[in-house]
Amino acid sequence: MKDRSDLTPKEINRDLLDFPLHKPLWFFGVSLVFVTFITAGLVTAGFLIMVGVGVMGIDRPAMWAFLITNFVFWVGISHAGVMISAILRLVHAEWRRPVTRAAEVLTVFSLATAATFPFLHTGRQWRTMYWAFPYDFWRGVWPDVRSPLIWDPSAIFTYLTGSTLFLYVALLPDLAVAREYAKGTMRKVYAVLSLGFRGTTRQWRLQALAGILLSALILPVFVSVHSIVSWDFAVALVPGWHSTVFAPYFVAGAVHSGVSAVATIMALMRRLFRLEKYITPDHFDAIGRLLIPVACGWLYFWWMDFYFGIYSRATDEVAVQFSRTFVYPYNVLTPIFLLAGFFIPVPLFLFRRVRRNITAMLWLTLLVNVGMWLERFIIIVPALTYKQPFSFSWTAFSPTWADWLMTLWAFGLVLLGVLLFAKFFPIIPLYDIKEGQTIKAEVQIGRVKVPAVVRE
Amino acid sequence: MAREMARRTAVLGLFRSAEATADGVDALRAAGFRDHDLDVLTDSPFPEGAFGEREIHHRLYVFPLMGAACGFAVGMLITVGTQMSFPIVTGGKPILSIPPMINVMYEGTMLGALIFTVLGVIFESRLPRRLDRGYDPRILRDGLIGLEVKAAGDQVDAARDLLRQAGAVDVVGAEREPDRAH
Amino acid sequence: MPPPSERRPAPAAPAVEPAPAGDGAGVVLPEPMGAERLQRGARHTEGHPPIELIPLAPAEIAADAMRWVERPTRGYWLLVLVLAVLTALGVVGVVVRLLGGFADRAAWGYYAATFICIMSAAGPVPVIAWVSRFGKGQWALPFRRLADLYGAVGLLALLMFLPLLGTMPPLLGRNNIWFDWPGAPWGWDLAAMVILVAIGLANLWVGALPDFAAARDRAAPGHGRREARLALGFQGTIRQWRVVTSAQIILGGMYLADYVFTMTLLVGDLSMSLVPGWRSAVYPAFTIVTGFQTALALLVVTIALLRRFGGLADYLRVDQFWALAKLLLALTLFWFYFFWSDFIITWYGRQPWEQRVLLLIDFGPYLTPFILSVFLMLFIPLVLLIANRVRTSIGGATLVSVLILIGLFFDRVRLYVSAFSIPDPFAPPPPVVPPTHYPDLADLAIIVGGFAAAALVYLLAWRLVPLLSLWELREGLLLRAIRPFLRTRVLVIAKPW
Repeated sequence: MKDRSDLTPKEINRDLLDFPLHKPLWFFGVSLVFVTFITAGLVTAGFLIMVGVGVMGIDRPAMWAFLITNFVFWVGISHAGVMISAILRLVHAEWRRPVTRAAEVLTVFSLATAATFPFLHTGRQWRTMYWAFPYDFWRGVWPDVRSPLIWDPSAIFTYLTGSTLFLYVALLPDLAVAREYAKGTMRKVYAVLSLGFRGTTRQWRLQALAGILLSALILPVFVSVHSIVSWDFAVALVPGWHSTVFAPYFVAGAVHSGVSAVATIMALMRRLFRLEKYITPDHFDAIGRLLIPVACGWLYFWWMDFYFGIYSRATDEVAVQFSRTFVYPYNVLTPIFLLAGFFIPVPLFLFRRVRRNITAMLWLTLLVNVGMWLERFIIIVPALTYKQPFSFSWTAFSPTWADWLMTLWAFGLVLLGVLLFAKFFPIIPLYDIKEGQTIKAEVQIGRVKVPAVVRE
Repeated sequence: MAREMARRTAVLGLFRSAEATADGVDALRAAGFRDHDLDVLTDSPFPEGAFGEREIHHRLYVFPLMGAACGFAVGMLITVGTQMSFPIVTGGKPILSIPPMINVMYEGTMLGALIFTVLGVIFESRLPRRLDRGYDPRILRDGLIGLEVKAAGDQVDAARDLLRQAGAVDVVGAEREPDRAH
Repeated sequence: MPPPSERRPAPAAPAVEPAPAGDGAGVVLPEPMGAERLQRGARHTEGHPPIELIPLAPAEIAADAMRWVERPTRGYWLLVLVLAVLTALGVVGVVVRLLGGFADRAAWGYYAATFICIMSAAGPVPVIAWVSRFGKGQWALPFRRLADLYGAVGLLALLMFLPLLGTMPPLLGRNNIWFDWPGAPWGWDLAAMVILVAIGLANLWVGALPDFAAARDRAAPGHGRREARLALGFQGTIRQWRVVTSAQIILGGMYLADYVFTMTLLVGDLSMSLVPGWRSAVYPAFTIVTGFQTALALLVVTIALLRRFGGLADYLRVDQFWALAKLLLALTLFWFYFFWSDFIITWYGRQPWEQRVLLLIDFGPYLTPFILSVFLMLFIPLVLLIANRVRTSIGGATLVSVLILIGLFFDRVRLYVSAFSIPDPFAPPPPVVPPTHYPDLADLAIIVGGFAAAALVYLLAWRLVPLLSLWELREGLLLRAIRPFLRTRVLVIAKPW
């Protein structure tokens, strides 16, 4: 609560609608970079479809590698939105105000991007329709709902729909404000999308109720999505995968990487959109404090997975854990992911000076996500490359140019999506900031005026 | 029974401060205007009851329950239907395997609840709505606070006077609008 | 600096500030215009009742807090007597078991289940207070000390743990979490329990230091020696306050970490490693999370009883039950989540040892406790707590909590009695599923006596430590005020951090 400023509604409108209503030069340059990534990825995807999945590094027995690592990673990032937006709404955390929409937008675009990866990695993407859609297409063959590969589309579709609707409902009042500032076609677009929102007391009450109800509904979905993704691995009898802790392990990792990604996005937004009055060191302090228990929870689950993997003393389980820890290249990647994901950032998050240093938080949260990407890779590939009794062919996995370009493509898609959203809609909720101004208060204690907030 | 439509006018007073708006509400009430004739329009939420407004009644909680029931039914239909239509044993599991069904039915339930909740919010907010009456862009653009009064006949002039006396910087709107039940 | 928003309402009559601590003045609440909407019983559109302050002065709060230390009622002593008798019954049951030796591990199953129930329900309660301190939740101020006091129950848990050391078979020849580490499991499990209890007691003592000092200063001449010793000369300097508040956060965090560690060890040694072939990485987390659910339930029941019979109705209001009920709903969902994470993987794998384990703990000889635990810890609480009316009612939250606590017992029976009844933990998997082991008279005495002993220890702790955290409540009075806001009243909460 240290960094509060007094802002009028007009100032708030001007500052937060500046980017949607104007076109700074850097926007075109940055967009071009992301479009380049996406184009490279589309070309690679075209090549993959024409030539086959062999252009990726996958080969027996490592049939899941970068594409699925990216899938899991981006589903994980998508957990940011609900964690920040829904949970902080429910506990009335004041510091959520400038952060919620960016987190929700990141959720929508990263989830949509994630959904493309299992689609691509099937090799013959058009057949996905036959496998997943609940209709037999005159073949007499229906999808097998006992397979986690069918649970996945149901969960991702639910989460994507729910997140998009959540984003839209919370965006309604700001669409109405944008309607009053825009001209020409955009004015008509905002007018249609805002549905005639006027700001009556009834509409505001229902907005508040919607925030609570939708938050309460989407939280269980958020937990279930990454759990179901984890069960793609855990229900299989692959040594190193068949572990009951995968669901909470993946969810904790998702929250860790998602919240870190939100912190990264916030630092970039503050700089690019000149939002120093709205995104303050207080917010990074709060996010840093949130990341400490989340990261500790993630580490505990990682340890449980590792420890109970070797607990059984089963030869194959022990061999996979050994391979993840001591066999090249995983013996290099594992310490890197542990250092990057926990042992460097989290001890630093304990210090208030670090948490309030925005540059430090930017680099530390990026480091966390480097670690978390590696963590997903280490979960997936070593277990597959372990030679099992009926393995007739085995190779070490090595990524190709196609793997790297598809990874880059995902970053381009998500970041371009967030940038384009910010181009057309305010990335910080206007009414949330204004409400924060309205309910600011102070309490005199002795000679000190202590910042306070109002609760209804 | 046919509903009689009383044609009333929406008069909108625009205020700079919340205190003046609250004074305006008090003055209108004292003059005999009923709670459901008044509405306050703001560009951000205020604490409930800040302007002395009436409690809102809504049935929003019904929507997620209805949606959950529909989603549950669809989920059950898909899971039971596909398993019965293609009764093949996979992985040693029974034809009708309940644990996997629970995963899909759960997602269907939540999807139904989410969709219906959003529809409920839009419906209960009385949206979509045309903005040709009871609204001024200065509310959302400049941060003015609107106090809308629905009045008929002589009350229209009385409402305008009361709004000006309470400190409204402008009074707009003389369009007639049908009475809506609240 | 931009000008202040012209939209912010001008303050009405002078803003009401709470009286500074110590001068005995009460909090004056002005009546704003149009406050008829906020009469008692009216609800916010979001479904919660209006928020209120504790309408008492610091001197009254001090008197209420010290009542059980200074002048317990006859009802208190009667309850202590009843619990002491039941505890004695439990001790008789334990003696019967000890006389039977440790060769028949199945005979100790209900003892183990009772011990784990106490560890699950009472063990994590101090963590609730810590979480509210870490998250700066002022709604928890009235019951933080009540939660910390459950650290004292750790002494009973430690005592109960000692006989269980005799039931643990040697490590060699079976899967275990120790990998044949020297001194394991007995020495290390005992060390973990001792450290946990020590941290819990330290947390309780540090948090009560300022109140011991206040009691020392309140005492009549010639009295208060015990409080003076416990207060260690605390004077309330700025440095001392900083040490106390920092120590609370650190000790609470350490307690949480050690609780998680200790329960992981106990789950492994008293349950999983006794069943050949059972391997579940999420099972310790399931036990810990369900422990938090039952800890919340226990706290709700505690504050409900103290509100009704303990004269604390002015402190323990709907706000506290509402906040705890919301957390209870979340943790009930977590019960299902962790249970399902374990179940779906085990069910899906179809491996022989997995199917035997499911038969053992869920669908075989312990089917009835399993069904009861699912209904009492999941279905019924979920259906009830989803309704806002239940969450915002004291009776509703209490009823749900009682059901959860009953469900806990059945849940631990199916997990620990079943494991203890495995005839040979050294046999190769899949395990042989034994028939249901029913409790005998000694087991019933142990169950009743164990829970009675836990309640007894808690009650006796009231004689030493004030039930209310005086200094935290006074701090809360400073930081909260009810003010008029245009035509309504709002709660203003200061955030000095």
